[in-house]
Amino acid sequence: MELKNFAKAAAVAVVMAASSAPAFAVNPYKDCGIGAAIFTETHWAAAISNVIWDLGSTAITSATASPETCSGVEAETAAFINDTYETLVEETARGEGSHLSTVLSMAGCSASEQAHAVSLVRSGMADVIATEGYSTASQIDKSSAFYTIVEGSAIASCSGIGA
Amino acid sequence: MKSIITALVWFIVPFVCVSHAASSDHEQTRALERLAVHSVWLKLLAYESSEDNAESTVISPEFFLSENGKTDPLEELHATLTALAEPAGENPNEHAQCLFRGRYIWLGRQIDLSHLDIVECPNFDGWVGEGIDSISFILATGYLGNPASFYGHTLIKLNSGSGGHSNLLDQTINYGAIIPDGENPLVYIVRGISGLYEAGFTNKQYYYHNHNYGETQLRDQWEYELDLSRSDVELVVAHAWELLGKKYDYYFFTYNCAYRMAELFEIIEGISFIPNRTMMIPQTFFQSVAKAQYRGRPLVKRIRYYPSRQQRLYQRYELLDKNQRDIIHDWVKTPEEFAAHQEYQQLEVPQKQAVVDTLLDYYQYHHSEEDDGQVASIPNSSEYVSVLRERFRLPLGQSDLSSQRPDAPHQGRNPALFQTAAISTSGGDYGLGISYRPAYYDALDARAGHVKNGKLAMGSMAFTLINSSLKLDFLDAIAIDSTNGAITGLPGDSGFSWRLRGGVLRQTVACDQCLIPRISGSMGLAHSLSESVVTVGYVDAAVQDNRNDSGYLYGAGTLQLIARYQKLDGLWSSQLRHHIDSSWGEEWVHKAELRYELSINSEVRLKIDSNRGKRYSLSYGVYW
Repeated sequence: MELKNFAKAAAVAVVMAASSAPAFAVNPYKDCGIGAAIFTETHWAAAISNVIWDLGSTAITSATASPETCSGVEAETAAFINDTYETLVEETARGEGSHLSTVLSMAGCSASEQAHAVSLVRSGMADVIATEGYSTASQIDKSSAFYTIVEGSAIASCSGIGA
Repeated sequence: MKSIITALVWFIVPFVCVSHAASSDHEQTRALERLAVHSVWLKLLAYESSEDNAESTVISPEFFLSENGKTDPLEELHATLTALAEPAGENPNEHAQCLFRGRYIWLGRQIDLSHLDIVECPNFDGWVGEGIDSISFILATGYLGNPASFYGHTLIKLNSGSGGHSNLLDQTINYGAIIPDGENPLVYIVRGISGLYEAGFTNKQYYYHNHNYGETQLRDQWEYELDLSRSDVELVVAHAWELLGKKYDYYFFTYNCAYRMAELFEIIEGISFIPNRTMMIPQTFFQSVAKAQYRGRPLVKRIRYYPSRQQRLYQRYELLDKNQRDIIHDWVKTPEEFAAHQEYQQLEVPQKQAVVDTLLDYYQYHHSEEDDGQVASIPNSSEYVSVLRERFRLPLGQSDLSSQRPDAPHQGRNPALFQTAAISTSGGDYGLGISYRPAYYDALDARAGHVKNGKLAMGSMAFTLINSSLKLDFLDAIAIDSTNGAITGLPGDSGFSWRLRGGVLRQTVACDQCLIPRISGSMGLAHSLSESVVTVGYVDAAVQDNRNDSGYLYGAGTLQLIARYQKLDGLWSSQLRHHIDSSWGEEWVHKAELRYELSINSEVRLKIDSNRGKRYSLSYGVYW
């Protein structure tokens, strides 16, 4: 029930996504099977990706996925959000920060367009955070909600969508 | 095959710039031979030296285009020139001009390759994006939570300034050993030191490392941006590209991340910052980088500091007044709705922002300490979410961080310490002491790039010369103290501390014929009395050789105090041991030590050890 509330709120929060033109061609969280194929990497390079032979930390990474559209800016944005979600949300709450600026840039927002986009993202995420099921929602669900809100905010605020 | 190569060489050689006269066959051959032993060509092939029996350190066969390319740079040069001249196939990314980008660019600057068809390289072009403006070295400071990261880690960031985004999306080049999942830490210490792992370069975008180091492992990062010309940036980037995915043998103390990163830049003529040392420590590498000159100017043009989540918590906490700190402690103790918290509601908005931002840092830090190392997991505690909701209710705006930043790693001292000491004992003897610590620091000299109040030493040793008798005092295989000062005193910032020591040592300060092997471990809690005074309480246990009826086991409790005032550092420690299987019973072991910093790389120490006798020493130490 709580998760349903979260999902519902996340969807409702995206009031700015009313436009028919999407910021991204696909939603990797939905269309690319995120959590399954997209964020896995089996190449040996993954084992040393972090630090000098450090333990663990085989985190979600921006690997390629199928279909091919999932390997473009959409997948990169989704991976970025997923990897840095906690910092992104806190920066969103403060209304500034390098991670927030980066994700809006990935969504096609120039520096001059970002102030308006930030206010929309902040408004949307405030609703998501306030939902009853937020604490128990999965990381993928949270990241997906953030992605959708960024997408909608970019449509409403920015000219270089999907750049 | 040889004849084909030779024919192609003759095709190419007429364009060799170095030969301006009408070229004879002999001169052309000599020109290629000279090129094959050029220092940059050898470094592009990762040869360790220019000696006749030298060979490349790359162990991946696909890195070489000729059968004997690993040991024969001239044959590899012939094969490279042949491959560069071949027509592009169905997949241009597989062409030598794309795969061996560094060789292609450098050779193109030495000889005329303008007659070759230029092959488009979509993969390489996509990797460099809109262009690399500059290159930075990143140092993630040492991390005692993992033996592999004790000395810090070095990577390279390729800065693309024109992308319209922050540096988080910049590509990085990383080097490390390839470790099987679930490898036992002790096993990989042994294998890492012995060269029994393979290693290689990988690339990821910087945000991944930034998050992993800063948020998960709580390690500060330093960025040293280099002032290189565009042509040198282009060459280093291209060389890094051709090395991605290639394998080397890995050696923890020598051919490690810092060494390979330094090696990448040695293809720039005039640059060399591989220190002439037995160990390649990242901090030493950064000292070399900071000193380096490039075309008559400093190589480093900018240094940036990225504090970890833990440091940000401490920086924010430091700026709070007592009322704000009390509110935080009160809220953590009994979380409630912010609207119902009277003291909080009476604060001005900036004060509220500072309180809430500090709480966010605190819960994230607390979460990282409990986390199992997974990078992207999110704290879901109701307390954290309540704080986050409150932050969304507050107006936009960033609360301040302390403007103070620690000394940069290159400002620290040299890693190795050599001490000579005058010694006297309670038995009336006098003598000399000599000690050597290859690296790295102890509680009294931990400075820039080190873990504060901590200790990290491997291979330390000390000798005494008393009454014409030279004796080994101790030889440590490893000695680590991880002391968490618990700056805030909040739950979770509890000051959990530990230490580990293994080696051989004398049983007491005055004993004779008493050298024993011993492994000891301790767990405890630290508490900061002030910014410069820390106390620690430990519970200790040790396993040792049963010599002189000392028993194999003892347990102990230790109280320790570490204090510093300007250039003076002090440590006092008292330990009560209980020998479990011995007639030695209980005994007190005391130690007091004062250190005064004479200069960045010299010191004096006054030390008193008390353990069934007393020993006093006054030492002079030099770091090098």
